[in-house]
Amino acid sequence: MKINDNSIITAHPYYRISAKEEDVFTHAFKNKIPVLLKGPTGTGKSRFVEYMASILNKELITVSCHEETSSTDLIGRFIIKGTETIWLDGPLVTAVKTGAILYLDEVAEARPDVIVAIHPLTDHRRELYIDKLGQTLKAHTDFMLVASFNPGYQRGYKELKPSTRQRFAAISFNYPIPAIETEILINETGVDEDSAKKLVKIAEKIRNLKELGLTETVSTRLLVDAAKLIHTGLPKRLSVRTAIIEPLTDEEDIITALTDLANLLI
Amino acid sequence: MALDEYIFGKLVNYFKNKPVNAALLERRVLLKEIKPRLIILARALTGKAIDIFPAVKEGGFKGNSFFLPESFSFFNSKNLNFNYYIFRVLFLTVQQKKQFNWYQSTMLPDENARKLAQQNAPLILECLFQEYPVAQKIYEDLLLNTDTESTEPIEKAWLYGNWMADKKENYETPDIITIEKITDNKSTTLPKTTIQSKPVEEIINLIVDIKQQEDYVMTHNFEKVDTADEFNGTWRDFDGEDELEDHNDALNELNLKYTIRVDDATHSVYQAEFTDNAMVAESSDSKTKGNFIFYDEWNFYKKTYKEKYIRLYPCEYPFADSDFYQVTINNNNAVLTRLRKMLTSLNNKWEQQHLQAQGGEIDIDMAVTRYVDILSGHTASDNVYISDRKLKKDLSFLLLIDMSLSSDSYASGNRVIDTAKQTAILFGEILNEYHIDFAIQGFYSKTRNYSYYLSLKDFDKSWHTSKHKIGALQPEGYTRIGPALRHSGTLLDKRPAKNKWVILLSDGKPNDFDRYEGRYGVEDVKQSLRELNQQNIHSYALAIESSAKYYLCQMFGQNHYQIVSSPVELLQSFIKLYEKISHHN
Repeated sequence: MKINDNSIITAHPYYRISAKEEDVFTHAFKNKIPVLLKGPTGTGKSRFVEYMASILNKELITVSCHEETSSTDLIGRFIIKGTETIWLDGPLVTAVKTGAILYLDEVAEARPDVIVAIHPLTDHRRELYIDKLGQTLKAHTDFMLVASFNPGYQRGYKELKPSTRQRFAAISFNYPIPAIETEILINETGVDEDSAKKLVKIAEKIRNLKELGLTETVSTRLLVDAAKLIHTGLPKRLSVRTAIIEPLTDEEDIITALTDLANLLI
Repeated sequence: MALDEYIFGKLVNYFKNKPVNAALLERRVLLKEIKPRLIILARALTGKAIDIFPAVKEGGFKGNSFFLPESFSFFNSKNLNFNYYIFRVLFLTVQQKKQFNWYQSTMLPDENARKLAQQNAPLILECLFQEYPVAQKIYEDLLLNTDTESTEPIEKAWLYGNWMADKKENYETPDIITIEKITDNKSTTLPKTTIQSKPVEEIINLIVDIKQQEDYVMTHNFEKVDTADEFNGTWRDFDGEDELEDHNDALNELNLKYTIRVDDATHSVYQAEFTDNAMVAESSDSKTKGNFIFYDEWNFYKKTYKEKYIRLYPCEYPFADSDFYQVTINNNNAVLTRLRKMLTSLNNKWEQQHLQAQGGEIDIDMAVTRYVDILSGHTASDNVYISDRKLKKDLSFLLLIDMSLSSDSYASGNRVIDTAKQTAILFGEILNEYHIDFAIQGFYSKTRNYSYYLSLKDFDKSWHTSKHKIGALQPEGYTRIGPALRHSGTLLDKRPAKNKWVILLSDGKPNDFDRYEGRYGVEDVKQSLRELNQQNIHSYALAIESSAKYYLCQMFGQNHYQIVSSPVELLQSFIKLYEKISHHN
């Protein structure tokens, strides 16, 4: 679990708006409606939350959920110190008390009791019952819950129940259109326009391939990495191979085929 | 065979198979070696499900099929010969995008097909160089022709290919209904010999003229060493003895442009890779005895269901082969023990129960809470233990085995159907031990009128009586996956479990006599998977053949299929799947 307690950001992090997501988020924040961000990895979900927290000038607390994440990890626990027991607030309680934005990254990965714990916070009650303390905590007016999940790759294994999903307003994230993706690469890494365009074209072609059995395809994040390598002077074809092709797969045949493809385009 | 025939045959064979020189072998690039690479490239560039087939000569494209020369050795370096293929794939990509092909119903002579290709090449090249600047360099290298033994430059036909008779995309297939007499003869004769055919680019299917067949007079084509006839207007008897190997040379001379389908059992198999354009007649309704269930089929051309189109015959598999079961268990004892260990450790992990009044371990969080409660004078809970209690597993599995004739082939030295049977036996053995609800079913089809669904082990049947049946399975018929999945959905829908899975064990290529192939078949399978999804039934595919990945991913989606080559691997991937499912459960 990763908690960024001091993530009040002064300069806004770079985020390229591609539709009306900023407006949607701002209005959801005003109306205290929890937001669910859906989309494949590396499409800017986390960056968007950072950006919005910065725009709204709110503290952001991020919890990266995994299969062992339990409600205790979120709400808090007693620890023993000498002969005393001390209560330690979890990130959820901190956010509820201080009015921060709590971002549950990959919420579907977490254990079911996490979902149960957040339910009363996501409807009109906006309260949290802490069973270990026997207390009910009313949420701060600015408290907002944001969760992300990746609908594609865990289908059938881990899914959010409809009753949970219906508690959120949802925004879909996908790979940006080529023009915007090029702009993102240039702004994020300072790479030249020609290379950025070529990288985006490679990504576009690799995303055409559904049969490689890749769990996930080329994300904007991978392109950003490749662009950074190119910008600092690594040869282009090598950068593409190291930052895009090799992270995608270990199969020799596919690596060769993708290298053929990349070499045609850059 | 008379002595003169024998000597003549030997001589012809000698000249035909005379050794190729080493230098040529060194520089020659074979299509079959680079095909997977080229397929990935073509699919990435076009975004379409392109397939690559060997061409009769220079080739072209037809719909989503690209035809390339079987081998290429014009240039002196292997690299240039390889680049030739890359260039052709790029060229065809652009040609396909521009839809430069022969879309008229009249026949196009080869000569004109090449001419058309050459006349239009400049337009394609211009577009090609604009889109892929690297292609210009490759093209110029090929044209420069400095690296060949020949003094002539490369023939234009090799560079630009030819135009092929094609149909506009998403064309409506005409609903011609012809009565095809397809009998339900369950023959036990299996093909014994399989030989790969020469490439063929176009197939025209003829409807059998029974009258002429009866009147057939034996004809001989004397220019061939053995007699295997091309279609020449007269119908001969399909007697069918397994003499394929003897006729191999004659077969290599055959033109497979005209084909017919018959209902006699196969005695030998002559494998022709390309069957995409085979115009197969749809079968008409037929009246049959026995209990059947109607199922709909998805017509993707019209985006509607063909209602009550399929007749599916569910029945219990009557045969048994106890030896096969015994041999499988004996040979895989070690595997079974390993599987048991894996499954036991899995089960213990996910059956841990917190907040128990007794158990093997103390839950540290609860112990601290109890300590806090006691210190603060509250009533403390005794439930501070973690126990490994067994819970009822809320799971139902249905293993669906593709029994079609294609499972009679070999993958990595194992006969596909045997691998499937062994997997089913081990699968059943393990699930039975762990009291998990499961069924094992097989399917094959002979047109929409005869889709068979054979029950090897029903959910409520005992494993001990069912386990012997699996060994008796024999390859039969074709692969109509859609109705089999739909019926599996119907069966699973009646199970009370929360988590239901269909596991398909197949080569993944939907096909049947009556046009159930290519995109039509894939779309029907996709639609039936969508239906399963609506019923809250999950699906997973296991395939034994490596080429299956080109089909399975189109239907099942990423992360929902796995290609394996032995029962051990199959089971390991099953355990992985089980782990994923049960962790969620």
